[in-house]
Amino acid sequence: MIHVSIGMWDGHIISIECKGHAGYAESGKDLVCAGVSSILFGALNALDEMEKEHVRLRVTNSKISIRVLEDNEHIQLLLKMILIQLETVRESYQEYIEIKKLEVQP
Amino acid sequence: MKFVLNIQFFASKKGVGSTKNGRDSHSKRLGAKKADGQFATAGSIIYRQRGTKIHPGTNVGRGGDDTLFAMVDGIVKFERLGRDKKKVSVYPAA
Repeated sequence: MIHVSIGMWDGHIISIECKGHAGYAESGKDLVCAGVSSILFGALNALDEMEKEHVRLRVTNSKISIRVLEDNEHIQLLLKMILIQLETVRESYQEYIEIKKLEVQP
Repeated sequence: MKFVLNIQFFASKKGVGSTKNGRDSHSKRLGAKKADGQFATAGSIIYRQRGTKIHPGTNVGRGGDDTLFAMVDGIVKFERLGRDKKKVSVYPAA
């Protein structure tokens, strides 16, 4: 299962962290993993291109994390879209992706 | 673009290559079919083998596939043949 943690503060998204394995099928045939990977790598490049100074983007061998350093409306729009895309995947594949919202301190 | 898409980033273990093994022939149930001291009728099989693990002795014939069989009714005897070989014979019951 892919675990998505959304860090919230005062109604704003200030972090997104994704880790785990979808487990839908073996590597090379895992459709859920493909969908989630596409959403997140696209988001990473969008944030890197448009808000490079205001976010910290990290990719390790099994985890992707996005952290807001300096918030603004535009970033919230991008992060909200990422969240809705992930929720759309969860709508159809809830056994393979879990999304948790956590209140965190900035 | 800074981040190159790995479309299987969240996939589980990497797909393993296929193996070329996984074949085996059916076992041929070789070995002794009569025990030492057992009565055997003429023509009955005593020992199934590939090659001559056991050599034919008195009153024992060897088939095309090296199977040993009794040529007369009698008692089966497994005996030594030389220093390191074995043979099987059939001695008519007295």
